[in-house]
Amino acid sequence: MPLYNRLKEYRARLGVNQQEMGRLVGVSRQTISLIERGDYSPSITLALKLAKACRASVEELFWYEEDGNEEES
Amino acid sequence: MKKKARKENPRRSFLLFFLIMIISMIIGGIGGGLMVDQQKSVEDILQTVFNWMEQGSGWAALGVTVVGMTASAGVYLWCRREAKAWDGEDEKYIERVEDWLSMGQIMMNIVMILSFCLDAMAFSGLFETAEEEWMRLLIPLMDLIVVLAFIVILQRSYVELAKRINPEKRGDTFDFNFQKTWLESCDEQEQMIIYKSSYRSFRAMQTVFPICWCVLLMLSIAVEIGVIPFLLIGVLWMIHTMTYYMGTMKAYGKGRKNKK
Repeated sequence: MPLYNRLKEYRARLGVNQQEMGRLVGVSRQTISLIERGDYSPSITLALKLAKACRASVEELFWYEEDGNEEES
Repeated sequence: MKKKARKENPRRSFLLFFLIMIISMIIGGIGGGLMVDQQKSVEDILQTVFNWMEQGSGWAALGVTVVGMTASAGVYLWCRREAKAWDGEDEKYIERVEDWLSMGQIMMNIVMILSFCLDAMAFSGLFETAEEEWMRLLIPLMDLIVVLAFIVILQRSYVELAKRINPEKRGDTFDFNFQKTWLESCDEQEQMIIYKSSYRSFRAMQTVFPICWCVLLMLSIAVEIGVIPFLLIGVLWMIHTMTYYMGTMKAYGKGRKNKK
């Protein structure tokens, strides 16, 4: 079940680069990059921190597809 | 995309395992028999190879050091220049630099291991070396000193550059706790990569150790190698295995203690 996200979109709205976003939530630039590419699924703690930094809910930021149906809040 | 999980078939797995054991026994038996039968030839070949290694390894080590360290230093200087030119925004650009940074460190470690081993080969048998031949040991000795100095300087340079690119990273290469401090400064994703790579390394060594043991056993039939190689393999294998299992038990134990 792949995890999708709108992190790049929200980051662009905030006007921060990956390094600055990483600094906001306490992770490295590479981790932000991997999350945006869908190559890494963050822990619940990190997902909550990202949602708070993006001023969005976790469900607005992340979603997963199940059985080919997109699940969005 | 996740791979589909393979269906478990215990009977098939057991049959395959049993077949591999039988084939290994046959190959081992034939190999051992050949070693005994052709002992003189095997001994002569190995002795020639060992002599060549002892004679030529000093020069080989020097060659490896010069070429390898030049390449590794070159990669570092390129990465340093590119990192300086980074605008802080272009993510693909800095990822390419970081990939080369990793390649440079891999090169450096390969050179270090090869040089150490080749230098040690040159020194082996020192007690049998005639005094007039001791001059030839100057080359591996110089090489060892150069490699050590280079490793210390280059390793520190690589780490400092990584810290400049990723300011959240902490650790001083001269500190004995450097690896622990560095790991603690890594985030969840980076730690996961380290743990996954470590497990891959563990699995690889669990295959390598028995193969080495087999090879040494076969060699010991044809050539006098003494007990030291077996002691070494045993100690390394034991430490490697026990460190892993003790670590797992400790981690599970901590988890149980945290449960209230």
